[in-house]
Amino acid sequence: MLLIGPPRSGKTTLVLSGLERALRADRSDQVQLLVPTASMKHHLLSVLARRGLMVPSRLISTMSELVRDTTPDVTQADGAVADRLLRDAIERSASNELGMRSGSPGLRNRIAAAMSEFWAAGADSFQLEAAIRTRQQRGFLEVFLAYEESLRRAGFVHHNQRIALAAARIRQEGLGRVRKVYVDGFDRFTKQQEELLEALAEQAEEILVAMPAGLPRYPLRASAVESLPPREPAGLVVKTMQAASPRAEILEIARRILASKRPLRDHGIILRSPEQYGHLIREVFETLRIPHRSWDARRLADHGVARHFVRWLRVIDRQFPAAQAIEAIGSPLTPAGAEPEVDAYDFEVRKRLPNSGLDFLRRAAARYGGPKHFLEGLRPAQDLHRKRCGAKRWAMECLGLLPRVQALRLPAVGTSFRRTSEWRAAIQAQRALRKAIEDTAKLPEFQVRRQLSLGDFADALEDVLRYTSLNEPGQPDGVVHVLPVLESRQWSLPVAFVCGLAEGWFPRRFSEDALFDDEDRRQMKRRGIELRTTADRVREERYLFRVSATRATEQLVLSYPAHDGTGKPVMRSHLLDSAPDARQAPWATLGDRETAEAPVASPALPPELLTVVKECNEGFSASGIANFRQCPYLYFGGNTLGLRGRPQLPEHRLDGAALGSIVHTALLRWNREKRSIGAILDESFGAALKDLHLPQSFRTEQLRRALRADLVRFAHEQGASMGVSERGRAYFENDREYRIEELASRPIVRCRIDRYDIDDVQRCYVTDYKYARPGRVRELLQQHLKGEQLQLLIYLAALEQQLHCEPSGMALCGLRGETSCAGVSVGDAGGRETLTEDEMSRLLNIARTETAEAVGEILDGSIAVRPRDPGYCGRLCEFGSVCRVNWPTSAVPDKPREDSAS
Amino acid sequence: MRLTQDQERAVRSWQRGDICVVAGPGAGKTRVLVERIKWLILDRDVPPEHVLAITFTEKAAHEMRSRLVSEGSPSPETRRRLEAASVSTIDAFCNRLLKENALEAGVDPGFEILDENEARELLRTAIEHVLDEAFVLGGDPLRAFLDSYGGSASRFPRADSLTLLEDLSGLVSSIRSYGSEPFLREPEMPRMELASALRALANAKKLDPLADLAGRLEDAPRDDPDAVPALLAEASVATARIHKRGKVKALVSEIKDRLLPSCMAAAASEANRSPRQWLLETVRRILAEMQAAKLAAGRMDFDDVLAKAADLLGSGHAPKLHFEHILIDEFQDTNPLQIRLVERLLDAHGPNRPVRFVVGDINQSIYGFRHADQNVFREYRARVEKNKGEVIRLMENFRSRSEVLGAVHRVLPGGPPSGVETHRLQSASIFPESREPRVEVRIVTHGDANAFDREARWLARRLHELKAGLHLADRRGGAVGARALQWGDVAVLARTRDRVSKLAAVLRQAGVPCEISSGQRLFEAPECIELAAFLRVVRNPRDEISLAAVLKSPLCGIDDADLLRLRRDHANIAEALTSPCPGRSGLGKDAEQRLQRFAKILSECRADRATLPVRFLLARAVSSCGYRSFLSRSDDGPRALANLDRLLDWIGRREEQGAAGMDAVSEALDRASVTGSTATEAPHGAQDLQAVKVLTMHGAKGLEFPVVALASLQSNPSGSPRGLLFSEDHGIGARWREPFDGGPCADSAYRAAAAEGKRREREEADRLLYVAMTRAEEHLVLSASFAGTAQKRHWCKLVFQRLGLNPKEDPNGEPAYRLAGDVRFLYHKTWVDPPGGEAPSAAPESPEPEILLPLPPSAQADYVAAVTAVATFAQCPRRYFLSRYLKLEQAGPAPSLVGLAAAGGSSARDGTDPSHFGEEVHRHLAGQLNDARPSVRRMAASFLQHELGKRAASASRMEREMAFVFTVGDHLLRGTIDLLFEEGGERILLDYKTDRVPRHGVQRAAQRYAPQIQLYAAGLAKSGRPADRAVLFYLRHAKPIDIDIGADSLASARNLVGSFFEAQERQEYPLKTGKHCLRCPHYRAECPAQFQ
Repeated sequence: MLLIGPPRSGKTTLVLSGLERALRADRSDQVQLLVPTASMKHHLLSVLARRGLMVPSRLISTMSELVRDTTPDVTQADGAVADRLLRDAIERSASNELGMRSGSPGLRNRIAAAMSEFWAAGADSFQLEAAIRTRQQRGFLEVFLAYEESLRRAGFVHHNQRIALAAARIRQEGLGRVRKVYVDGFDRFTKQQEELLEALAEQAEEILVAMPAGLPRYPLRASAVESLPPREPAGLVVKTMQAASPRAEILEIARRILASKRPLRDHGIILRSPEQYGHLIREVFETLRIPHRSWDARRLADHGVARHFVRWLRVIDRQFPAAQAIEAIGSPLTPAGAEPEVDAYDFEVRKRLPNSGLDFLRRAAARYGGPKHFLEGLRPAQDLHRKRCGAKRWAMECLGLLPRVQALRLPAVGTSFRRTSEWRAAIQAQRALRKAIEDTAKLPEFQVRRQLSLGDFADALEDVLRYTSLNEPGQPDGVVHVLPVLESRQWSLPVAFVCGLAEGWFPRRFSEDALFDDEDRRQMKRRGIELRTTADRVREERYLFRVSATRATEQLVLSYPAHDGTGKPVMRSHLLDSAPDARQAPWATLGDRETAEAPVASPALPPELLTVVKECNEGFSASGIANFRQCPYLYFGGNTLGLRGRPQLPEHRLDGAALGSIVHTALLRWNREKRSIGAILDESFGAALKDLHLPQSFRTEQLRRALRADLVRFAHEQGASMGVSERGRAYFENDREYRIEELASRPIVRCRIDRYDIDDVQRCYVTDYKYARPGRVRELLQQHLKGEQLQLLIYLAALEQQLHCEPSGMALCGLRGETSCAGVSVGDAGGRETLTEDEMSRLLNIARTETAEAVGEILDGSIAVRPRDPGYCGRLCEFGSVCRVNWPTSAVPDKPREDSAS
Repeated sequence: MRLTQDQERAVRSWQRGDICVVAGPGAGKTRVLVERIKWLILDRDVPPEHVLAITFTEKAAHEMRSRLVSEGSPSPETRRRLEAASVSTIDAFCNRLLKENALEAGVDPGFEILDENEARELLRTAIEHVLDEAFVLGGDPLRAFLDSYGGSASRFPRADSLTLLEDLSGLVSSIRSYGSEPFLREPEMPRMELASALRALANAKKLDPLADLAGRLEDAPRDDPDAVPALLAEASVATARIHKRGKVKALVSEIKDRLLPSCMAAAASEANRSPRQWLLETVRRILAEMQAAKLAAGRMDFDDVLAKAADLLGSGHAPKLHFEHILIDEFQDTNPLQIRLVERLLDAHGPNRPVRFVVGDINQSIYGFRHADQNVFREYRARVEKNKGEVIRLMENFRSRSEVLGAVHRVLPGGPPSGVETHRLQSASIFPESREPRVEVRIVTHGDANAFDREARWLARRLHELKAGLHLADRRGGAVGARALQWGDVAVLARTRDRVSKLAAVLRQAGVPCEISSGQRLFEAPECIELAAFLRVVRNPRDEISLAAVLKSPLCGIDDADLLRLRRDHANIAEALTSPCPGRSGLGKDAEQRLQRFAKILSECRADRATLPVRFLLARAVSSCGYRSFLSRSDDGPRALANLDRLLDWIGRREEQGAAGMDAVSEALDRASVTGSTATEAPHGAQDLQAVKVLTMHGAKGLEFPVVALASLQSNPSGSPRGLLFSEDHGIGARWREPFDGGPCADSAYRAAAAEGKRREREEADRLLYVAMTRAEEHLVLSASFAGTAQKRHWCKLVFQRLGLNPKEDPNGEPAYRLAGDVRFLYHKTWVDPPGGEAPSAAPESPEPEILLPLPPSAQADYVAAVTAVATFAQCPRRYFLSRYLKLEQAGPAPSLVGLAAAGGSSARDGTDPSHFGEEVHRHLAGQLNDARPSVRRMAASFLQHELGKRAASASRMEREMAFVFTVGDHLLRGTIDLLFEEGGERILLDYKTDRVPRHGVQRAAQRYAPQIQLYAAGLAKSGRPADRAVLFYLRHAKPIDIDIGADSLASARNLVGSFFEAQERQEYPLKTGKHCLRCPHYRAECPAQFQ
């Protein structure tokens, strides 16, 4: 008998009553209920048990269980097996254009879906051949035939074949003690399923199939039909709400759930578009600590445990490339990953990237016991990349490798429920991973003797992982249920939220099929092959909306966002037109319990820390003083706190400072050795690359050539004069110490002077070589003359103090792009701008005073965020995120200080 | 509002062929498009699926779709019909076309779209890979190229690696947006023409050497590569001192401006033949590499989608299309690839070419940087006019006051060489009378670099003044009244993105609430910077800079002094989190607590980073730290929260796209920050927030505001032209090094492309100003600040010249009324700081977050608990926790556990373990295992030959391995009874045991299982037919033990279930130590029990 009624008309209630009667009469072995999903089975078992009955589990089974139990000797091609057979079939059909694209997952999905549709419609390849119209369809047919042939040869059947087989067996063998069969929860049957129902109807004394009203097709055509009238639940409240974004929508739902006085399990969220909302709900609910259960299976491949192991396989297969290896080693899933020293080891390795090899990693781990011990244990895996063997052998290798590279740490008793659940999920994932490794070895393509590499096996394992589901562990009670709409069909919840009611999400927007368009499908329908057209799918969306909107018994909340997650506007679903109570929802205002504060920035450190400041600053450098004068906080971060970031990646290591250093080294050597500057530069550059652990690449090559060109031009143009007209004897790169008289014995300002010249009357001139362009060089000189920059003036003052010579000139020599020189000297200009003695004296005073002031301020604990050049903050300062100068409240820097001399 | 006559004509035009609507700003073009679609479908009965409307932005498409179905409250049927019309962006249309015809188009049917940033990353990777490969494989051609390549047009070109990467990236993007293939074009060198001009000049000026040079130039051998360049260099020197004046002015100009540069450019092309060829090959390789990478990932970028769709439509396999009307919005913004697509779309209909209804306005074409070509619209309009098609001009402006439009016409009157066409816009709306000027010009001059700050502060002051005094039109209730200005009525527009954030910062400081509506990059927002630092710290806390940033942020909240204290006590401040030394650190109690709380959160995140998605981790950390709450209380709370959420979404999308794991996400985030990813700050949804909108001029397109201030008019977009350019006509062009002096020298293609680019840029600058000015409804402020020569920049010059202002005029600092033509405006030029003391208005109230308590971890329990789990719990709760709850004792290999291998725990968990054996025995006894091992069969026989076994064999009714579900109180339990049979009127419940227990210990051992059997009995009691007897059967000794199933025993078992669920709720599993520990698989492994 067919029992037909709209959603909520009481079909399931009727079926359950029948089962209950049988249980109470101790006839449970004579009835059986078939449902589409395992979750529905458990749900209905619970419903019956809660009526005070002891319910044998066999009373309800899924159709898949029935088929499996009826055909235990049959092997079905699913998941990765089916996909790899299909890939093989596409490759083998080389004559058609699809053959070139067997690696395209989208194409395989499309073909697999089309084959399923044809099977489900009961169409065979002969019927299909008659309907072929385009060359793509012909290509598809070739693949279809090749795939069926592959199945046959490998001894597999597809899902629909197995159902048909089960139907035949039921006809042959009967149903045992079962007299009455109920079928509930289905809204569509494939041809084979209809056949199975026919077989059940033949063998059972009675069959009752409950289905929704209004479907285009029903099974058991010869059966009697009983229709149930619709029943609206009394007192159902329907609300519609709009939110700014999907996140605001979920936050609002969370707020309503938390604010309601009902148990959590009374609430359900029904989703048509899990891809839009699944992660979001999980994130928001976990953040707000709302227990929930998603009834949507996840892929094992997406779990960190699986990803971690596959990453290790790749690392081993690629011979331990250090960049990837260090990420794998640092993972908390790796046995050494939780050791505190692994962080230090991580930096050690990153400094030397790019590099590779287990030997390199082991050498780098010399000072780190945990990583060292762990890497020693990996030595047997060092040569696995060379190994070729069968899949079973690889599976054993992998199972042996797994405990070596992956360890789960037990949660302590008393750990929160949430964290324990995550751990349970991880342990479940690891079990599933083991099973997946074993399943990989059983793939049909590996059943023939074949020598595989580790990479081949890892590829296959990744495929298997992609097709392996990972269900959530346990079944916590008192949770909010998150249900895909198809899953929700037999649920009944006091409060249901149907979210994402936006055009394109619910209803989904459908494109015509790429293989068989609507016209083809209509043609096939006329030939008796029931394929769904776009219009059918649109109708289904309306049906699904009816299903989701009838799950609630007391309150139904329909919601939609105004924008998607990227801020693009979305349109309200037209399905909502049937819900007249549309109103704007308030913006979600859910906050968290904790409150935070940002510390208020202080311009100076408290007095009790000044001794610490002194300890951290036993001496000063000219560049340190320059940093302080750019911004006291810059000095504090870099010098006093000595904060260091993570080692730079190779592509960033050859930065301005490194290039400047190379140029200085080359110039110094050139001056000493009097050889070709090009050759010297090449040597210096090579040495720098070695120090920086950088291999040669097109990047380094370009920079080398640019530096070389600049220095060769410099040497050619300036020769021995080194860009500066000689004045007596020249000295290069000397370390000098400069004592600030005003502060008595401490501190010391260290200077490293590129060059100074002292003439026969003890006048000194300093020169600084900059790898900079002429404009910058001129700008720097002007800044010196205004007293804004002090570097050269400090040098001069240092020379005056140490060598008792008369500071008489300073010059900056720029080497980048073109050779440029900008300088001033007292009296005899020598091609430079002139400066009077008084001006020089004034500048030196500025240098002394400002340096003394800077040192004094440092020691007095000044840490004000006071950038002299605001542009430097955004572009160059690495402590921008620490000083928070770019934050809106402090975006405008203080007025720069006036020159002390003015 | 009724349609005007012109609008009506545009809506109801019913001619076959092309219709072109030229719609100025505020002319109601969206309304015209919407009305036309409605008219076609509802009045002319055009099937809705035969109507296609194409827009160029998602915003425009959404606006059109919304208005289509919402205006006029259509009936559901009408709405359904209107919705069936295809209204989408051009990208979405192509996406759908390709999805539906994937196989014909040769694309993956499941292809996904790469966003702009991903496409850029992919391109960059491809370039680096190709160049590195070129370097590794010999590298000589690469070196030769580097020797010759001149780089960008900055003063000191440098072919350094970054420049070359940027140059190549720009070149490839440009080629792709043209939908073209890379190619080189050999230039014509007008050598003879130059020679003859030089000869004419020599004759005119009587310069024999020049004549001689002309002769040598004519005779120069073609096969000598150095001869012509040398002569050209000579010609350049020789003509350098000949001025463009007198009789020879035209001739000298011709030589210097055209012939000589053309010849030099052609010579550069010739001289760099090999590097150019290498460049071409390299670009091809890069394109191929990129395509291969995309193909492998089954993904395409927007250009691919357009190109593939165009190819599909142009191929012999084009799908059958049946559009009758194609409506295209903002046609002036189309690029060549899009045009090609539109043309092919029309052609694909064969003879039934649809009606093309195009709306555009050349004056609003501002997307040249995306290769939009406004000439396309100009040519289309001309073609329609020529073919006697319909060109309708909508020049009535329903947006702005006539004073504002007057200023627009005054500053940008249009006509060559301006980029703006001359259209006189007519104000068509009524505004209240105003005696005050509605246009003002404000200039701040100052001799230092802080002029812009002063300008911003002056602007803030002026906005305060306007808020206090300006009244706007109020159209509520049908009549036009006046209302006071609100902050939400004001928009401040700037040309460049960096100015936007700086302006907003100064305005906020001056008490003007503002909201950055475009231009600010998501990753530059403070909250994103802080969270990016947090992720880096989760990866490795030894990154002290990131750690310090996080510790100082509200995520932790300690201050600089605390940082120094930590530094004093630890070599690396990360150590303070793992090994705090409270005695020494001197941290205050509050700071210590904050640090400890943060350390705990960080430690949890670090532990979970491999197994949980990053978005969950981050969201959880943000919540635990109270960061969300902090943001909601900040001045810019809604936006900050929206940014936080958008960042979480961004991370989520990256994870879904394959960047799974903390390392990958953190790196992607860092890259996005460095490369200036185009993700913009989030709209926070609080549309009623009363704040001044600060946005870029490009971002303001399509918007309108009562008051608009155009700030910083002197600013120019920075950057020099790149070293590589592409044009459709001339192919790839480059700047090379002069062989003689190493100076830069553009080849012919580069010269042509650069000249064209420069012209377009200048014209587009005019149009950008036009678009920006026409955003104002009632009040327009033009503001600039400069020191030095910035006043000569294009827009400043335009404003000064057209409004009759003298830049050198000595300002007196006071505002004054001025008149330029019929435009009356307020002029204020100053160099001083604005007076302080203006009262900052109250910041907008951010909604107070509602604090809700997270749920306690109660009501958590196994939904359906196993009876055996309850029995294990009765034995030892800790064993239950380890064995059943954490599932460490399931069949099959156990997980890898830290410390487990040392305890030797894994050896018992292979396939031969006792539980596996027991399972086989059970299956055999249940008749499910026919080919059992002899040992299994022997064990089973001990029951089958026993008296009970014989009774079972003759039972009237029997159930084996009966799984069932029942309730105890409110709790669901499940279990499996090994054997239940009825014989001799007795109902016997029997459970087999295969445990290795000494014979004398069987009785005692059986008591451990008593709760299990009693619960089974309790379940059976619910069936209405309780068991009469319950037996545990020890197979190894063939010994049955009867279990008490009296009422008291059953009640005790039920109580046990209550305790079990209570323990789960509390998550408390105490140890029960005893001799059983010695049999426990967790003893001396995971369990801390000590039993002597």
